[in-house]
Amino acid sequence: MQRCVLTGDRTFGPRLAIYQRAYRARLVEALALAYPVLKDSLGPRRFNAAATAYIAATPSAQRSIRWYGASFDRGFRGMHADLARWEWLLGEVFDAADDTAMTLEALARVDPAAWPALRLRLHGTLRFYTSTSNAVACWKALGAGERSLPALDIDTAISWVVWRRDLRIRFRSVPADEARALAQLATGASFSALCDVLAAGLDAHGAAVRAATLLKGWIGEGLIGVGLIGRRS
Amino acid sequence: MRQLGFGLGLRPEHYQAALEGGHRIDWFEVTTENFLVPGGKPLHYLERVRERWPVAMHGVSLSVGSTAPLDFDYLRAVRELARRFEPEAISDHLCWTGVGAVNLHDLMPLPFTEEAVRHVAARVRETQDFLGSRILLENVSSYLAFAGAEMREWEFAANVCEAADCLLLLDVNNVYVNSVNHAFDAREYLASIPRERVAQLHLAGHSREGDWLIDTHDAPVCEAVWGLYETAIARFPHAAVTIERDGHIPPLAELVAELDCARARAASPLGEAA
Ligand SMILES: [Fe+2]
Repeated sequence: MQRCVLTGDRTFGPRLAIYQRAYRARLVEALALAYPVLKDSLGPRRFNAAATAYIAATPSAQRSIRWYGASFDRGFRGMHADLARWEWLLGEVFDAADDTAMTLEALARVDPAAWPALRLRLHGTLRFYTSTSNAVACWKALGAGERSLPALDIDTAISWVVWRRDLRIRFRSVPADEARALAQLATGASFSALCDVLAAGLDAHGAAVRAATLLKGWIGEGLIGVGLIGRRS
Repeated sequence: MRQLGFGLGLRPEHYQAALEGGHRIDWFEVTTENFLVPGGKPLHYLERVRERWPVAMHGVSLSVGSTAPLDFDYLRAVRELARRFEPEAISDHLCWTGVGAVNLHDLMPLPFTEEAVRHVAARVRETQDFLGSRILLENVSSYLAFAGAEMREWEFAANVCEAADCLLLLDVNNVYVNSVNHAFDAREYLASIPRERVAQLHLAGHSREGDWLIDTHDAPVCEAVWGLYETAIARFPHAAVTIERDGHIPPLAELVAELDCARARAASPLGEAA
């Protein structure tokens, strides 16, 4: 029925233009909402140009306009691409499925003999992020209203974890060995496999101590979900 | 739909203020799509709100007028949300929002023809069967009309409701906006809608763009719309009333004051006499 001809009087052009303008404005607004700090760092003119290009190339296939900007980062390089991926990730963590964090008390009930085979589960809201730029530092600075951006520091950690606790988004950088250990957990590895990953440069005892220290920290932060993989909690 | 009184559209900016309480708000209308998310803050706050107020679910993605097949994944999600929050009503718009896989994220007008009435009504029935409840359809603002109309907008709306046995969510602002954009008498519109079909009224603001009024939902209700509302609430006295604000969202107290105004005008002598 959409093949019907629209009223063809001389007001047709301006009337149609209302819809066209509204379409663009609505999608630009959705992108600005998803990428507020990217918009800030680009400035309104460059952001609008990037948004216009994205809209022209990307008809929305989303039910909810909230997901429209999923591949907006592809239009950028370097810090801006990292910043876009970072902001999109924060949005994902914001309303990821709820999960309950593991407690130290629950873990203390595990039979010591079962520890090597123990398979912990990452908290359901946890996401990994890596960047090759100072995007997160810039995000923090811009979010705090600072106008001068931090210089690119090649020693800056490039691995991050982002998760949600008590409805609030948390994130922190992680050192290389911890990033490897968390990635290992994400695959459903056992505690002893976790120790193996940490063994580089350490003896077996040292690796176990490092694993125990990390695990205690993760549980304190809410990075581990309640229940064990392959077992009913 | 039972008599709900005077409610507001629930906006994230107001979650906290609403829950702190003390406002004269009888119920909340929530945008369905905002809560079709896995978890986190939106659902958390909706739980809290639902503990204290009745809610109605108002969607924008049904696309009931489209020729694309109904999206049953979407309807399944809506049904699940409804089971969880037990809304007083489920509504969407008398429009189409896209074709095939493309979503325009806009409420596009339908041709006012018999064929379109049959097409929409069949899809409304299918939707209602699936959801297990009657739905409300809202009249939308429009800036274009299809050639070959066989009836007026209000006849189209009334015919769809009749043929589908669904209810109407009458947006008084949209009636006013269209009465200017398409040069008709807004009061004739109201007088032609069967009393028993209108379960809810919307009030909102609009803006002007050249010769046309644009339904922007970002301003207070204007005097002309208040006047039309008095006629509407006199004709549909049992309808639940909602103030909608989607842009330039003011502090909650400001919307509550506007809601008080809607209450007062519903009780005004003009309202009773009409
Ligand atoms: Fe409305």
